Amino acid sequence: MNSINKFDIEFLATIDKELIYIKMLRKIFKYVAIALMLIPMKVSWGGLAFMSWMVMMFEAGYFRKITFVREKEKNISIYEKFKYLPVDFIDFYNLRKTELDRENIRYLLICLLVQNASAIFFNMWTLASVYIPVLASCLIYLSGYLIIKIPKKCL
Amino acid sequence: MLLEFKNVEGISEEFNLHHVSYELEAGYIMGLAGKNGAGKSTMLRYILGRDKIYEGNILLSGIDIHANKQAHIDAMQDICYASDDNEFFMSFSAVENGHMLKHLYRNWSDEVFRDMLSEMNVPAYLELHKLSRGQYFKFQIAVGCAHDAKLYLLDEVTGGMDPIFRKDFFKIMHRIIGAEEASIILVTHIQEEIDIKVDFKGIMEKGVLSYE
Repeated sequence: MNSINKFDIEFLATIDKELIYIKMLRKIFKYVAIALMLIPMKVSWGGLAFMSWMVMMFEAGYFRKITFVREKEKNISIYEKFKYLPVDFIDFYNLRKTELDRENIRYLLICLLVQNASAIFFNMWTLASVYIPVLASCLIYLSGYLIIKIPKKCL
Repeated sequence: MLLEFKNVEGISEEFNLHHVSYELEAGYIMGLAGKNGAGKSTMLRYILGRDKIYEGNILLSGIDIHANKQAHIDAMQDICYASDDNEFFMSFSAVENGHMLKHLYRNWSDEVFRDMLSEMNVPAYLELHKLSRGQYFKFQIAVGCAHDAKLYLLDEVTGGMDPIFRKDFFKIMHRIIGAEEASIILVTHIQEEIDIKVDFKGIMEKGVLSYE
């Protein structure tokens, strides 16, 4: 395990208490969104759209918590904290991006599986059963990506 | 030679240094004085910045610190920068910062860190933003000692210290440069420190370095 991984484990352990609720809510909303995938898109996708928006909020909130630190009532990017430390920003970015990729690919696959199985079962499959879960997942991914990307002033 | 500036000439659009050359051997304190805007901080920025914004070379222990990205990351292993500008994790305590930082430095010693905090009376479990300015500088120096820094860049650090500790501070600094074969560049406005406490005195004026 490299130094930035060990640093991150220690960092996450230090903010562990602050993460409890957001981690829990993020999971709950993801499970609800997956449950809504049981309804074929041909029937309704309004509930899913709302729930995906909620998941986006919590995805962004979670990654903000683990990529920013709250100081003097401001959110300061962790990349700024690395300014004078022997750290390559890219290493930390890769760490966060790996987590974002892994979580979202898993989420997308589960959504596609549930939606398509349900749509086929009820004989209501349309192209929307593919592109709506993909679109929702992309937006959720984007909400996390915009938080973890390295700020311009640190490049 | 610990630190060498070889004909360093700034090339940024902002304020630049002009043909700065000097050598600093291990075991010495160099004082750097100059008016506001004279280029003192710019000189530190050239060393600390990830990008090379000058022509010429800056060598640390004979290695060009901006030869490539990894060279600068490696150089930062040996540099302690103490300044108001260098903010660690301010909502965490000194000990919590130490737990995280130890993974980033190859030569980190928990024992040295703890001892230095204790010697300089820095509250170990108080959030950094609650420390006084002087205590915060002491914390930064403790971090430098813990990772066995070779070059200490101290930017106006003594201004926040009480006069009694200031004396002890110079004793500690002399001990550090003696024991660890380190050097210090002390940027200060306090004339007495420049005149009495340092081994070399550099005066920065309009980006040009001269010696006294």
